Amino acid sequence: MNLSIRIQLLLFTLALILLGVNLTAGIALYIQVNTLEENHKHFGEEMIEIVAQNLLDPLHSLEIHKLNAQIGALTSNDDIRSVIILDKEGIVLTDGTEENPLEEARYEPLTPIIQQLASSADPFLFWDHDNSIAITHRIETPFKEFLGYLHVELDREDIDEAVEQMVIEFLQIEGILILFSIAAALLLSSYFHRPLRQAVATANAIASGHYQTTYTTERRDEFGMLNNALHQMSSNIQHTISELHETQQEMEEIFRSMVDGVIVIDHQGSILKVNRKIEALTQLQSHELVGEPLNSIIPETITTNDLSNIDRQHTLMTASGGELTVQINSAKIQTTSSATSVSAVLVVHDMSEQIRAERQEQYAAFQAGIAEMGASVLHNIGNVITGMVGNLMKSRQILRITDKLPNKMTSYANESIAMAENPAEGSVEEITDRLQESSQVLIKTAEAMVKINTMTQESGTLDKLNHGIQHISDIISIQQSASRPVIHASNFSLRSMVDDTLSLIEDRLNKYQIEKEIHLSPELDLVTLPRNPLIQLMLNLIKNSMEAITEKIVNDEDHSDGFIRITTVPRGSDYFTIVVEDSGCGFEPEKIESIFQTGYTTKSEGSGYGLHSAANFVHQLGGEITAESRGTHQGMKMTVLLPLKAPAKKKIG
Amino acid sequence: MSYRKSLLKAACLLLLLPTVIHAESLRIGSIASEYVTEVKKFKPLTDYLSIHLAEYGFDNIEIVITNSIEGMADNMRTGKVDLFIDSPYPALMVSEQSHSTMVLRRWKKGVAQYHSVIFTRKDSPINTLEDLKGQRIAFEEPFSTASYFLGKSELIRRGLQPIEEPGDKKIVTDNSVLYHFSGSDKSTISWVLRNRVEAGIINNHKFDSLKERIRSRLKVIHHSPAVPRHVVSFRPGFSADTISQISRVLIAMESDRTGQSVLQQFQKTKKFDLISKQTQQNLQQLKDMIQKITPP
Repeated sequence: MNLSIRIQLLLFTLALILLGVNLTAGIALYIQVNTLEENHKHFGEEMIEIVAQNLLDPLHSLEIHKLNAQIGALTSNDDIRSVIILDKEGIVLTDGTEENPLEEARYEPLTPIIQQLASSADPFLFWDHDNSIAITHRIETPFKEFLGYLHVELDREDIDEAVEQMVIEFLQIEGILILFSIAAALLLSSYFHRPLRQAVATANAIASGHYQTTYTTERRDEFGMLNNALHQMSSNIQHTISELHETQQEMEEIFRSMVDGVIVIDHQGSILKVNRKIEALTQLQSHELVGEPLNSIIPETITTNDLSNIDRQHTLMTASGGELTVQINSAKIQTTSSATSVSAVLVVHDMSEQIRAERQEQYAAFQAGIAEMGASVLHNIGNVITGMVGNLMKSRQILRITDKLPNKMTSYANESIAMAENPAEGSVEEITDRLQESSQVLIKTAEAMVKINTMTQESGTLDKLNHGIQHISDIISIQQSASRPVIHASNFSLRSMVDDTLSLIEDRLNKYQIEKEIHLSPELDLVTLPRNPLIQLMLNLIKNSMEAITEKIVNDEDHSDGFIRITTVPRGSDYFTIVVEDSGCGFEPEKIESIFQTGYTTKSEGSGYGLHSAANFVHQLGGEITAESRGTHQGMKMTVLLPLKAPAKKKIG
Repeated sequence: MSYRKSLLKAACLLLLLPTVIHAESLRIGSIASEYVTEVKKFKPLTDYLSIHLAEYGFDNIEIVITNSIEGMADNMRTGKVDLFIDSPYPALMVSEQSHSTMVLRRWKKGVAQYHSVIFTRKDSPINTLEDLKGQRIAFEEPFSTASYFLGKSELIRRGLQPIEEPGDKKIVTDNSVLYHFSGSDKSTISWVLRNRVEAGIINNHKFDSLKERIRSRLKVIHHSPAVPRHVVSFRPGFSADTISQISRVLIAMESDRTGQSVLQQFQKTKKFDLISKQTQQNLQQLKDMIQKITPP
């Protein structure tokens, strides 16, 4: 209910007056009624005491007509409404009337009173009955002979009349006071109302945007201050609005020219506003987009809850039907005002260039990996071939023993054949000598053969050669398979993957006398992941550790053996971790944030691409990669969390 | 012209009236202690009679109040009261003493006649008047017809000896019935109910009008003969014509609307009528009984 200050003041004054007058009247009435009642009781008591004396004889002799005469004397008084005389048993003898309706009956309202009075020391009992003051008296002779009861009911009419008269007088006073208070309230309200009205008019003008329509006053009181303050407020608002307008124009220009696209949507998800970038991206004009639902250009459902903090990639539809990958960041506009319909602002960043760059970067990293792997492969092959050359030289030395044996054996064989063809040309002794010499040659040949065989078996040269050739074949096979740029997830044994990775780099580990500890979980073997990128990841991590170890050895002249520990641990039913720990140079904990960034390296000769590409790969799989180090020269621990199964339709690499 | 003649005739009549009509007062007697109250009671009747008896020479109706039967009897005898209206017992007493004549019956409060009812408590062993021997009975007051005279007459007629107590100097015998004056019929009933006396006597109308809760606690053991409710007596020596003229006026009141209204105002009287011969005989018997009843 909206009431003007005038009415409020009037009502307040009236309420105050009425409250005061009525309170006073109530108290006065209460006192007056009490006084009158006390007077009545006193009067009744005196009357009864007198009459009771006259009742003794007729009551004793049960002369009803005499009792009636006494009742008549009592009821001749206007203040006495009724009188009843009862016998000792509480039976009505007479009420003084001819009809005497209660004659010889009990008067029920009196029954409890009589019971109370019978045991009371006071022969009078005052009580209220039927809007009258009732007095019941136990009639006794001076010798305390109990004769009966006299019950008198005093009329309250005069009390009521007195009360009524007082109420009328109070009402008259109240009326006068009300009139007076109305006049006073009107006078006061006139004094207050005019400046208030001006203040209200000023406030209304401000509210409706008419800042020129204000009032100033010379009054120095609060109303004057209020009006002047409103005037000042109006000027300030006008100035502020002007500034806001300028700011709005600036903001509008900024909005329009923002590098990223901006979409403003309402609560229903309809587009309220877009900037030029969005127009450019969607190939649609602003007026074509405004009012359209957001999903007309971003088909992927974005719920209201999402709007509070979106930070992910979406597809932006263009007018030509094309799709653009965009990064959308949103901010939900929390407002309690119903005036604005803005629900959220979406900042749309075109990811095309970034994706292209990332792909190029990934490709470069991949190429680098391939190059490294190639180098590693060639190195391994070289090592194998060197071993094979050594083995071949050993074989050659062994075979050198038998170098002269063929000629000797051929010479002895020819002599033996000649002697056999011409037995006369030689004596038996000569033939025997020849045979003995031939036997010696054969024995030596046999011994040489035995020696060659023994040496060959002892050195395992042939096996090594065979293994080396097989090794080269394997390395080439791994290198070939790992060189494919795009590889889909496949089922493979984690153990075989680790073995293959180590075999690619084992030679270098041996070179630097780096111990390796492999702890593969027996519960974990078969995974469905892109195998080759995973090998590259492992190569990166192991190579990184290896370089960190050599770095530490070179810088600190710490010639203690380094170690690399590879551990696999299942994580729940869907994930597992590969942990690569080393005793290398480590890094300072505060640099952990930048360790996966492109170009960062702790090593003097690192490229900084290895860990970055590893992190990208892991993230693409929906995994995580973390690095820990207790500090410089404290080693490093790389933990890779990966799913057991690559996400569907995810192209990795 | 005729208007002037009428005025002339009226003036002549007015001049002649004092010489033609012999003005006389009719004095109505009543026994009462309150003069003003009694005069007020009779006022409608006297006003009525002053008009209707004027043609018979009574232009003034007076009320003569005495406070005793003897006084009234004396006034009747000496001609100070012409007409006396009261219940049968006072009327009989006055008649006994002044030889007045009871002519009319007044239906006071609409009642033509009444009789006495002698009653006891319902649980009382008393069932007949004879059972009252040696018992106590309450009468109202010594002038009461139904609540004293008729009852006492009945006791005497049955051979019982009513003795007032206290104060009576008669010797109590086996036939004695001790009686007390209660002062009012209500007291009589109250006394009987509270065993202050064994029996009481009131008129039949009052007994019938008792509340059921009271009547149910009482038992009627005897009804007396009926008597007129009120009697109009004329003084001795009053001419029969005058008695007849006054009686006619009183009897005619019930057929006159004004008269009906006056009767109603005069203690709700229904009418006046002549006392029948049978009733006259009954009254005469009672008159004889008066001699046997020692006045209090």
